Amino acid sequence: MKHASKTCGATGAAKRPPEQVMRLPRMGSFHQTRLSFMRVLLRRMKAAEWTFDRPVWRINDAGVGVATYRAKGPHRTYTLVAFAHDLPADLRSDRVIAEAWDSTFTLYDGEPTEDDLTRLAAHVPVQEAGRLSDRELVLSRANRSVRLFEHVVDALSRGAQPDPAVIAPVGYLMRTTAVYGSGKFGAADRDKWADRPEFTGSFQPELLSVWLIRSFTLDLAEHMAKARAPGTAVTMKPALRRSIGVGNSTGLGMAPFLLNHPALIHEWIDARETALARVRALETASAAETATFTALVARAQINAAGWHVDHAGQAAKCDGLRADFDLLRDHLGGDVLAGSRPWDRLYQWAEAALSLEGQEQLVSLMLEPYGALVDDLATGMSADESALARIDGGAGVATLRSQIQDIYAWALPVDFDAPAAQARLWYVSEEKLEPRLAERFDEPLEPYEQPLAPARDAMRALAALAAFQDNATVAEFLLRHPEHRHTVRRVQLAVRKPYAEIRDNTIAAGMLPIDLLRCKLSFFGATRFDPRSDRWVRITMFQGAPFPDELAVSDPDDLAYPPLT
Amino acid sequence: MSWSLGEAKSLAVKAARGGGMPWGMAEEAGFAVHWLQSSGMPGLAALAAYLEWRDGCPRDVHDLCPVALGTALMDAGRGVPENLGTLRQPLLLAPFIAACSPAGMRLRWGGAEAIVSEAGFVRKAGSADAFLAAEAVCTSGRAVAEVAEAVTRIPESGAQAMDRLKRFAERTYAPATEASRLSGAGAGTTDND
Repeated sequence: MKHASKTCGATGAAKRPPEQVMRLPRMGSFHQTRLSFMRVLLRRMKAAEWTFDRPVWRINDAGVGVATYRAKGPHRTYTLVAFAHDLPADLRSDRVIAEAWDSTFTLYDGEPTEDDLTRLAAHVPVQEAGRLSDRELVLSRANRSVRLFEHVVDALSRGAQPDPAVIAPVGYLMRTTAVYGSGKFGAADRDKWADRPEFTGSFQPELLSVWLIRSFTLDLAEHMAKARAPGTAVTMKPALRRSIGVGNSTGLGMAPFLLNHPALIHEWIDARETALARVRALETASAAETATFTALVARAQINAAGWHVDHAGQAAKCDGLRADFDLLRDHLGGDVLAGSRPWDRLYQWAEAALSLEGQEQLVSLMLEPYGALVDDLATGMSADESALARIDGGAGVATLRSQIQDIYAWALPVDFDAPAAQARLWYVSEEKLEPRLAERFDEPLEPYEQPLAPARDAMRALAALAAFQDNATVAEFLLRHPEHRHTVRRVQLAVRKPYAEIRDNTIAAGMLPIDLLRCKLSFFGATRFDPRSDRWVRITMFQGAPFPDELAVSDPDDLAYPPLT
Repeated sequence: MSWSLGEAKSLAVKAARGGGMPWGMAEEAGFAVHWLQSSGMPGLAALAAYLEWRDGCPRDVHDLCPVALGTALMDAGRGVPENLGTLRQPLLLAPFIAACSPAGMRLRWGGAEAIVSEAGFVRKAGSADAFLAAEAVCTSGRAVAEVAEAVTRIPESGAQAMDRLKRFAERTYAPATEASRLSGAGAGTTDND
């Protein structure tokens, strides 16, 4: 498919247009990149020479108690407070409606006193039912992977190393089932820390928490092995230890995020597309850059070879990706990176030759040799959304009309009265106050519909605009039609920030919520995307990454793909 | 116990929607509450009182709505008239006047007087009750901005207003059924693996 390219002035490089990038099947094929927030976090902490320790470890032989992990940066100190519980199997649920967990966590802004730990012990273990203060930045919890946790504890207690073949298909000892930040349940508002240099970008406090949680899960397993058999127990070898990340189980609660944060999504996508454009604009690739890229292709291929899922749709995409890697390596064998504008030619070849999975994997790999060229973009990947985007009421109705026709061009031929075009309905459940998806024509939930169908709503606004003269203003339109205010704000924002709006039908019969989840999680830096249904996904975070005591002596970016051996 | 401003804003948006405002207007109500509370003013209580009055009100609520007038003034972009008419809970108009006149504007209603600007809400005269007047004639005048106290939390005293708003927010939540519990979230597989 050919698309008109828009240019980004400074470098003269072509950014892919939103109507190509912001389609759900492509967003649902994104992979982690150098700009993913986990990698940004580790790079920044390494550069600023953060130090880490574990001041409190009061866990008993049954694995119950409290521990703290301290992260000291140049300006401030943060502490993960971890509570370990004894959870009966019948209470173990990844659903957000669960009420008990194997472990619960908070990220404290500073160093907690004993009084703080006592206060937190009353609130953190009950999660949503407790109240945090503005000294806490994050609230989280995790459940064990029962099989792997027991395998690891059992092996270590016998003085043996766990079996890598048992670790590989799971990849984590615990999976988080929620990581709440930014003012949730009483925690500090984003405003409190948004201007701290160590948190530039997105989701940095949350991901710092998850990275420290990873250490806790390994420490806990080693502790329990030693408690079980003090005479024989050993700790895990560093390389094997690094193959264990933190799992995450995420459902529909996260899916509307991309729709509810249009300005932020624009900044994320724009940074990634700008990075790609910069690389595509390069006239030549040096021998060293080519070698880095080629080696990473081989390593990413190992990653793809081990990516097995039960979900039929994703399994087919994984097969496609493996086939794409064979094509890519054949293609690279022809010395294609030797001529002029090598990356632009490679990308154009990929658009014609590879699946969406393969194209987006290639985009991630193309950025890898060029940290010096693209890593600065990470600092722009945030948005202050505390103030509402102001509506330009003085704009003319004719302008608004043409803006809608441009941004939602793909939707103009869609008949939104047809059942398949509006088969789904987003609502919030009374039970757990979480976003849910219903079949519109099976359940009488329309009065509860959330504003998560921007294209349909834009078409409704367009129809209402037909009754207005071209010289009327947006202010006059909204005075008569306040029900379109939400849509008008989105349209005007998407004019200024073109990647703000998804160019696809978010209520269509065939819409896959996992595409929304995949896009967001790829920006976090997640790997091993493993859909458990069309609406529910498990992932792995920080797999392969250094542990706190290894950060100073390792390159976290080199660990983003598995080693060749 | 205290709440974050983000929690207050998010509750205000849901409550305004549950109270009958379209989503885009409810977002403005949430902005207004956040702005007022950031200056230590009782935006939550004002919105709760407004929604309670509006609920089932036989009068034409639009002409008395501070959010409707505020957004209309912002959209029109022609400045702020001296006579703003009669409004329910005029306190809720203040954030919009500040957006229209970032350099500062004096607002008066009942026995209350304040200077509003991009630097926040500064009380000049009037009791706490006056600022929460149910219905009053509101006027504006020229003024120079004054920097308001910056408040970053909703104090314990906000609990009552939040409970009142929760009753409206609940109207936006769909009652759970066993079918939606399973299919709506798409889970249902074992997690003991």
